[in-house]
Amino acid sequence: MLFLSQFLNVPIVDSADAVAGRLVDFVARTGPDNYPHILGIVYKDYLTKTEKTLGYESIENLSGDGITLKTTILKAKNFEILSHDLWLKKHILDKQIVDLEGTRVVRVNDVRLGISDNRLHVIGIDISTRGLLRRLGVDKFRIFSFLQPLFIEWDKVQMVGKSLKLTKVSRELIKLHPADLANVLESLSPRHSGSLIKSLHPAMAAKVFQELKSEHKRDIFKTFDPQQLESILAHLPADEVVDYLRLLARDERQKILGSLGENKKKTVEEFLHYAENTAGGLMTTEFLKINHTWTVAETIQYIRKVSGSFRSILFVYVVNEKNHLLGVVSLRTLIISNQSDHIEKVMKRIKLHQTVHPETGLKDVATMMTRYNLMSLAVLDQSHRLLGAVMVDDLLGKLMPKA
Amino acid sequence: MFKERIKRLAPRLLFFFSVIGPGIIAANADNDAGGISTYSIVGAHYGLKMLWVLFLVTFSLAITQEMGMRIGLVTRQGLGGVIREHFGVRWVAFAMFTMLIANLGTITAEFSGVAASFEIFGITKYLTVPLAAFVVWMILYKGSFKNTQKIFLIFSAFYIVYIINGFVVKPDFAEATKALFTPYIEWTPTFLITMIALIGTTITPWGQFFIQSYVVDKGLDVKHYKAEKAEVYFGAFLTDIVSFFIIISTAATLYKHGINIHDAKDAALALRPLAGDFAQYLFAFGLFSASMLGAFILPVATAYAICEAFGWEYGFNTTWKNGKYFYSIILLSIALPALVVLIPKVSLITIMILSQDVNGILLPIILIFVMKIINNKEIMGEHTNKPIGNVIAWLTIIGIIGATAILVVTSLLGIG
Repeated sequence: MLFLSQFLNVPIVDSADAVAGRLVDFVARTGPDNYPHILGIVYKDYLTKTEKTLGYESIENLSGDGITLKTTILKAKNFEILSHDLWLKKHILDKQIVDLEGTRVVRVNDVRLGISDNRLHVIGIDISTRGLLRRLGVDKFRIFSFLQPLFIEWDKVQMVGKSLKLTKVSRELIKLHPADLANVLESLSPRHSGSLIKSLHPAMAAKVFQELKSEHKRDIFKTFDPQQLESILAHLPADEVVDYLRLLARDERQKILGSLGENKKKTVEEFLHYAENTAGGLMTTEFLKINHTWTVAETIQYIRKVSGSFRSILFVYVVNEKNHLLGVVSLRTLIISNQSDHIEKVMKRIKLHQTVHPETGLKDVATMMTRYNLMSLAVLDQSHRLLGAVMVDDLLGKLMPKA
Repeated sequence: MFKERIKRLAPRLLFFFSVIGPGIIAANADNDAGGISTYSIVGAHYGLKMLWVLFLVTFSLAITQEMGMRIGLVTRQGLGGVIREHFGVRWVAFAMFTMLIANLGTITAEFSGVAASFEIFGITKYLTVPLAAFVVWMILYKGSFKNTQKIFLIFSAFYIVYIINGFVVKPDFAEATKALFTPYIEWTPTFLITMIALIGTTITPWGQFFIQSYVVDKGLDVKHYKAEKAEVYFGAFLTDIVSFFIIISTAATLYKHGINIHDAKDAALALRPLAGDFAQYLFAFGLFSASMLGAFILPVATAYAICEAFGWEYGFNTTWKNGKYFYSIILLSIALPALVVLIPKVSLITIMILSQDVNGILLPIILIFVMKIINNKEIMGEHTNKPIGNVIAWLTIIGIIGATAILVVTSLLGIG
C-alpha cells in the first residue's frame, strides 16, 4: 500500500545517482474519472533552495527511501500547475473532510495512493488511528497491526473549508439524506458549513437547511450575504421562514420580510401572529391541496409536476372553491382507484372535530393525532378555511427537541 | 401583573447573557480554585510585593487572549486544528500532550477546591470529591451543560465581595498603586514558585484554547473583530481587578498579622473585615462555585480540543461507540484528578498552587505555537501581529522561561 506520508521529504535521486532535492508535495488533477491522477511532484531543489516541479513521466520508481528519476535532473520534464490543481499535502493532509459513507466529519491522517492504467492516482483517505501512529513514526515495527485500517474511497470524500473550491461538490454528497447532511454540517464550524451549503443548489440547500437545529440555522445564516439569503429563503416553506424570523430582532425581521415575494410575505406575516407552542406556530403550508372537482388522473398528474418542491407527499387535502376543507386522499387511494373517478368520490371526509384552530395548544394537538391515528392534522380558521397542517414529524421534533 | 413584568424582563436578561462574551467568561473562569488560592497566597505571604507582576501580566493576558481570538476569527478553527493543519501530526501531538498535562493539573486544583471548601465545615474529602466527580459527570452526560454553566457563572460572581472587602479593610491605596510599578524579586525557590503560579493562573494554556474555540463556535467573523477586541481587553482588565483586590485583601489582613495560609480556613480569614463570622461560609461558597465551574468546563474543553486535532468524533450527541475517545478523555480527566486529591495527607493548598505552576511552566510552549501562527502571512493574511503585540508576547514567553530556569537553578543550589 502506498501512502503520501511515506514519501514526504524523501530524497530525489536522478539517473546519475545525484541527489537533486527533497520531496515537498504531490500535485494531482481531477480528470473525467473519479480518482484524481498525479501530475507530478514538487521538490525543494538543493542548489537553488527553491521549489521546482517534476512531471510524473520522468519518475522511474517511488519508494519510502527515495524517488528515482529516469533521466538526469537537467533533462527531467517539469509541468505547469494550474490554480485548481490539488496539492496532496497542502490541501488534503491533516485537513477536515466529510466522510460521506459514515456521514461524519473526520481528519485526514494519510492519503492513499494507487497505480492504475500506469498512472498514480489518489484512491482514498486514511482516517484510522493506525494512520495517525504511522505519521507519528511509532508504527515502524508494525506492532499496531491489530488496529483496523480505515479508508474512505476518494469518491466518498467531500472537502470543506478552503479546499472546497478545488474539488467540486461531490455527487455522493447530493445523494445524502438532507437530515444526515444537516447532522454533518452541525459538527463543522458555521463558516465551513455555510460555504458548503452555499455551494449546493438552492433547492437542496433549503431542504438541508430545514433539518438544522435552530441555533445552527442562525449561526449559518449569519455567514450568508443578502443575495444568498434571499435565494435560500425563496426555497423555504413559509413556516420555516417563520421559525427563522422568530430568532431575529424586530428590525432584522422587517428587512428579511421586505425581501420576500408578495404572497409569501403575506403568509409569513400571518404565521408570525401565532404563538410558537400552538398549532398555528407549528403548522406548515408545505402540503398538497386540490380542488374537489378534479379526477384521480388529474391529481396524479399534478403530483408528478410539483413533487420536486416537497419534502414528502403522503396525502392530498381536498378543498372547495372557498378553501373549505372537505377531505383527504392518501396516495394509496389514488393508486388503487379508478383513474377517471372524481376525487370527491374516493376521498375520506374529514369531520370538523378532527381539525384544530391555530390557537390550539401542543398537547391537544398531540392527543388528537394519537386518538385518530393521524399523520397530519388540518388547521382551520374561524370560518373553516384551511390554513395549514401540523405534521407528525414536526410535532415529534417539538416534543423531543434533543433528537 | 407580575407575569407580565417577567415577560418584559426576560428579553433583557437574555440580552445580558448574549453580550457576555468569551472575554468575560474566561475572566470569570480564571478566578477558579487555583486562582483564588494563588492570589490569596501571593497577598498573604508577600504582601503587595508582587503587584507589579500582576500589572505586567494584565497586558500579557490582554494581548495573548486577543491573539487567540484573532486566530479564531481568521481561521475559523480551534487552536488544535490550526496546529494540526500547519505543523502536522507530530507537533499537534506534542501540543495536545502539553495541554492535557496542564489541564489535568488545573482540574486537580478544581477538585482540591471542592474538597477544601467542605473541609472548612469538617466534611471529609473522601465523601465530597467522589460525589463532586459523579455530579460533574452526570450533569455533563445527562443534563444541560449550558444552563449549569450559567448557574455557576452567576454564583462565581461572588468574587465581587473581594472588591467590597478591599474597601472595607481600608488598605493603603497609595502604597498599593506604588507597588504596581515597583519591581521586586527574591531569588528564592518559594518566591519564584509563587510568582510563576501567579502568571500561570492568570494566563493559561486552556484559556488560549478556550477563547479561540469560543469565537469559532459562535460563527463570529473578522467584521466582529473590533467589538470582540474591546470585550477581550475588558475581560483581562476585569480579571486582574479582582485579582488585585484579592491580593490587597489578604495583604491587609493575613500578611499584616504574619499568618501563613495552610488551608482554606486561613484564606477565608481575609474576608472577616467584611463578613465577620460569616466569612468562612462566604469563602467556602465562593470557592466551591468557582471550583465547580472549572470542573465542568475543563474536561469538556480538553476533550473537544484533542478530538478536533485528531479528527475524532465529539459532542454529547455522539454515541459511545463513535465517540469513544471523546468520552474516554472526559472520564479520564474527571477520574484521575479526583483520585489525586484523594491521596491521604496531600496538602490541598499545595496542589492548588503547584498546578498553577505546571500551567505557568507549560504556557510558553503553547504561546510559541500561537506566535508562529499569528505571524504567518499564509494563515493570517493581513491580520498578522503588529510589532507591539509581538514584543509584549515574546517578553512574556521569555519572562516565564527565564523565571522557570532561575527556579530550577536556585532549587538545585538549595538557596532559600
